[in-house]
Amino acid sequence: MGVLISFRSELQMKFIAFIIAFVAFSVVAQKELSGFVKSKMTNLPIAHARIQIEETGETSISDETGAFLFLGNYPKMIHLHVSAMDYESKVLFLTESEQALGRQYLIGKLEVYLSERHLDLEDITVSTGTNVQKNKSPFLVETRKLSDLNGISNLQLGEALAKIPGVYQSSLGNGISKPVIRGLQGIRVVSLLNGMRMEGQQWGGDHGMGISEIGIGSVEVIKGPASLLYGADALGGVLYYSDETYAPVNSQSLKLQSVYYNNTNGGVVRMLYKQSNQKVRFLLGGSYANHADFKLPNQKFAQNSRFNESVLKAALSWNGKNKVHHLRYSFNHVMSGLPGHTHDTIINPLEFQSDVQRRKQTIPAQFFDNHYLSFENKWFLERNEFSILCGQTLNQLTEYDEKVTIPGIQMRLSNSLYSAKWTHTFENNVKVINGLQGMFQVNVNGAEGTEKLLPDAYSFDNGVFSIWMYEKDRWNFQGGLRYDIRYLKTVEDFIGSPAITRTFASPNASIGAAYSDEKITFRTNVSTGYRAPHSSELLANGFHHGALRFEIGDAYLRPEKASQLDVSLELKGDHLVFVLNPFINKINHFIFLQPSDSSIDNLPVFLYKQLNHVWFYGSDAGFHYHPHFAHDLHLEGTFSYLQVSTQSDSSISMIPPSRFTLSLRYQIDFGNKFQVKEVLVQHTYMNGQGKVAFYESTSPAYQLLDASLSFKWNGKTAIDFQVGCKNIFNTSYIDHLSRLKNIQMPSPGRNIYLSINLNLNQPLKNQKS
Amino acid sequence: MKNVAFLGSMTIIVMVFSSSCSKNKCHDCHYDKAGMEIELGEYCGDELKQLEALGTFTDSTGTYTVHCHEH
Repeated sequence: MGVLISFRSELQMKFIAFIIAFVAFSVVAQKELSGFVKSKMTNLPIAHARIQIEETGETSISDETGAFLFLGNYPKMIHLHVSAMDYESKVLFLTESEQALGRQYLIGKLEVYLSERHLDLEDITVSTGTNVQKNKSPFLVETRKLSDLNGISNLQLGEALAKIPGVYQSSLGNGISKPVIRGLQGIRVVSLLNGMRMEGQQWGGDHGMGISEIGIGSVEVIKGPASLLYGADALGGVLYYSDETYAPVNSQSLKLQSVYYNNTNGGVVRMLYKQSNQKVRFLLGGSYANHADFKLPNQKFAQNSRFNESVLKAALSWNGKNKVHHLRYSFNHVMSGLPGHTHDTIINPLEFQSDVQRRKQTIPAQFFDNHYLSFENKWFLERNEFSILCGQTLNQLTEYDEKVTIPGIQMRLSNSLYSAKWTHTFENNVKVINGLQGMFQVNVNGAEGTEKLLPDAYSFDNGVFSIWMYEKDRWNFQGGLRYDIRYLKTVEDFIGSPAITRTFASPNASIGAAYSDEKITFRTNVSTGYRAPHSSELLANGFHHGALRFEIGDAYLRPEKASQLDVSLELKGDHLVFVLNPFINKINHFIFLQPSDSSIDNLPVFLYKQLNHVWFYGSDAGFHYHPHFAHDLHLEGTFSYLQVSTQSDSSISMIPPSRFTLSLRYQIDFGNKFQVKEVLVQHTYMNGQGKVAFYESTSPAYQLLDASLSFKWNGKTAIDFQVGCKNIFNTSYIDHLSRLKNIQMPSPGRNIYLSINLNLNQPLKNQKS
Repeated sequence: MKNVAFLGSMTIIVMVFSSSCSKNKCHDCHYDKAGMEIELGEYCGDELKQLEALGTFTDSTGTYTVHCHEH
């Protein structure tokens, strides 16, 4: 017995010694990255600058002396992104060898000098496959913080995105909104959430986006084909959503927001809690939105335009020596009414307008449940970076058309996906990214649904790619090759059509260059993309109630192939930035819905057809004027122009008209306890659209004026308020891309809103010392 | 702050799941007869499901299609 006790004591001692050694080693292994952020002109410290290690996502905020500190196991080669208000952002590439060579930036004694600048253009992009400074990317990536897009509050994320040049929204009331990039939408636009592809039956024009703005920090838009980076389907472009950054190291934050909109007599409440210590970071948030039928300019209400949305979001990140892991989950549930329901054969638009504003759920209505789960791992070894992302998404769409207890449509789409990348940086400024991407999709119809829009089917995608980047002086070059293959199999006969098995494959390539100096950035890029026909296009043979038509597919459709030339020119002055971005995109074998002269049960019959080629061309432009003599004034304008040319007239529908926006922002900072912060006025001119498809109606031009006023209450805890008005003049208009155009339902009238924001930040208790 | 965050999280989780799991909903049902809406009253839960599964209402004058949604 005594021997046994002695043996156990020895074991315990060894275990304790091991733990002490491990902890000691961990402490020793931790590296300190500290420094100061200073103004280049005055040499004075910059307080509240944000310093982020791009590879791990760790952030630190500089104190009053400009000092910042990281203590941990960060990789040997890092990109340090330093940003501060009214200063130009800076990205430092730090290696241990540079430390040894005694170059400008020394780990542990880092001094970062930021130039004062009114206009910041040097953001980092992540959607280009790796962390790249925006002006070094060979194609223009529109990077927007969500907070900037919400200068005037938006009911839906799609509405916020439509403020970006070249991006529009196709909506079905307030509850359903889909992004349109350079005239292409639905399945031709790929959306990614932190690098994970989102799949949510986006082929249907009446199916929503499945994402809410809670916890989203920024969005990047790649316009045009991007198959090299993201595989099949990205013909129109890519939307890349990135989570908000975690709280700065050793701190916690809580964000509470509530917005009330008088037009829908509804609103949203949001909460986001973040906590970060040296190695582990997490965020947890949620939101709930509830809106009644929206009010029309004629004071009536759009019947059954009500919707509600519940969102839950969680993310956890932890890092070890030369590695970082991200585990992310988000869920959203949407109930959206579908206006335009009638049993009458002759439609009277007024019957869809009500004198009473209702909120109670009725039919027809759509219910969406989306689950997004991803696990991303990155390893950093000398000049190599390995990353593996595994994800699982689940989308459940239930549509109630005629009965409130028996669904008309019930579909469940499961998507399992992977992405593996190896990035190697050579010593001669050459970087190469090699990778594999794939996904396995299963679409199953629910047993309760009375109709089927799609057959039960599964598909398997795999792609292999290699991207090469080379930097020389002020020039950056990028080129790459990719090969994708998709296997599609339907597992049952579908409305008279036998089950099919198809395999689609295509090579893709992209090549481009960027030149950038203090005054000018010039980019040019040629890229290709492909899209395999969706099973809805191959096998449709039935009613699509949401789109109010009977659709007939074609099992012999060929894949679409796109080639785009994109050029952008940015002229940068101290007070003015001007961007011009012309493009031309040719799509071969373009698939479209052609109306026929027949109808079934009073719904028009549409056939899926292909055109040999379609040209999309036009330009996006923008400017930002921030004069030195009026330091608090910002004047911004954007212009979007698109034309479509086909060998057959009137075959492409829903082409966005030209749009011009102008916004004026004035920072006031008046008052002490109760501070008036900012006034923002925004004008939108949407041109008419006369170029339409068969049976598609033209749309007249319209213009809107929106405004907001921001305040701050400097109490014990600062509270931000914003009051605003959208569509100030209560203009009656029907957007050309509105799905309610076919029932002549105008868009919402005047909408006054009030927003209250509470932001709490504090250091963690055990770190205060 | 942690307490506020915890309470807020719990509130939102309850709201999310209660909004997506409400099953025993009620609806006013009616049928159309000679251009008139004839109210059948409010039906809930299994009763509502049975009425919709049947899909019709029969009286001495005939059989009519039942609707349980607003117009």
